[in-house]
Amino acid sequence: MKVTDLVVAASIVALALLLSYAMFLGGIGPVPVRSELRTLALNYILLTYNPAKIIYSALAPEGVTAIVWDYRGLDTYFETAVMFLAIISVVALTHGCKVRIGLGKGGMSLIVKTTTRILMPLIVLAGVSITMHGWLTPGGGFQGGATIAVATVLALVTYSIDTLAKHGIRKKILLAMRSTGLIGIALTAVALLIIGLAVGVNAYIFQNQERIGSPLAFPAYFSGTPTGGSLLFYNLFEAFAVSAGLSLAIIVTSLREEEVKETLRGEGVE
Amino acid sequence: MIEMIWETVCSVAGLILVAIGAFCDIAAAIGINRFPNFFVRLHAATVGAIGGAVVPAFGAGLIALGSPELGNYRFFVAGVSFTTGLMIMILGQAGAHALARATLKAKAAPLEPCVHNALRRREEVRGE
Repeated sequence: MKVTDLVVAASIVALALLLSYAMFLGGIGPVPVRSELRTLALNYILLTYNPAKIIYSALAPEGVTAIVWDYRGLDTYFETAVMFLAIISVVALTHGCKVRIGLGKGGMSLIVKTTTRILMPLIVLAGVSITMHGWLTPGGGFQGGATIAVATVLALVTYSIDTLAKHGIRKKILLAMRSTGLIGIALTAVALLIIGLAVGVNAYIFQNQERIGSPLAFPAYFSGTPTGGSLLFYNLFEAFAVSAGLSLAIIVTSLREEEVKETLRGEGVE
Repeated sequence: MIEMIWETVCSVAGLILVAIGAFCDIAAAIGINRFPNFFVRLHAATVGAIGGAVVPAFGAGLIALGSPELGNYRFFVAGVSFTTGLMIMILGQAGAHALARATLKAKAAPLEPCVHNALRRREEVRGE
């Protein structure tokens, strides 16, 4: 070991110790210590799953999903729409570009391909599991969908974009799946409102359980297990939309130079 | 009584696996620092990935099975540990292989000093 290596190592250790000492002395200012929860946080914790106060509750044990899709569902819907718009923009940029089968060299080695073939179903299964437990344990539609999209990315890197196209994973299909997911989310958001209008009962947008002035509610239990009411549908549709959307974005950005140039020449751009 | 023996066996076996994992990690760290080129350093990294991650993951699963204080959650912890270990075992070798193959084909790292190169021999047999 050289002397310079020792000096570098000693400097790093000295810096870490000095920073720690400065923080210990209050060098970064006073650190606020709160022994009590804020009222807002306390309310979420007490009401997220509270069968005794259903009109304030989402009846889902997982607080984050309850907040994201019930208490502030409208906000999440617009976030999802923004992501959809971003994907639409990427697709619009490569409008008209098609995958030319036979352009690539057929992907990686047999060992990597076999490993991918074993792992892909496991990844999809993990994604479905994360989605289907979203209202019970940490996770949910976005996380599950993103996990499922990893399987597409893996297949794309290992086998090449040609293989995906041959197996029917194309832009149009993914875009249709993504749109179906979004429409599903929108329909779930207004489902109780439509039922309310049909039967002449008051209801709200993004209503999950009974609320003040509205007796309508999504079923909160399935054979004794909490379903989170509307959260189940939101998670499923979100997973559908996100898995298709992210896969689409990855496929579109993986188009090869020749495929893009061919389209640009067709449009008269050199 | 049998349960107690089973739990003790699981815990001790798990702790031994974790200890083996710690040794493999240290060996891998030394190897990565001391080995002369990319390909042998990759070999050391694989020792860290398999011996230093898969083995202790299995060990953690066994320790969970031998911990009755976790209640039914010990089966969840053990299941996740074994699955994670298995996945790293499948992925680690494939990742190392892909890296080594790509580096060799692209000639991105010096090959010397080289003790044995199976791929070169195969290319010679093929007459490439």
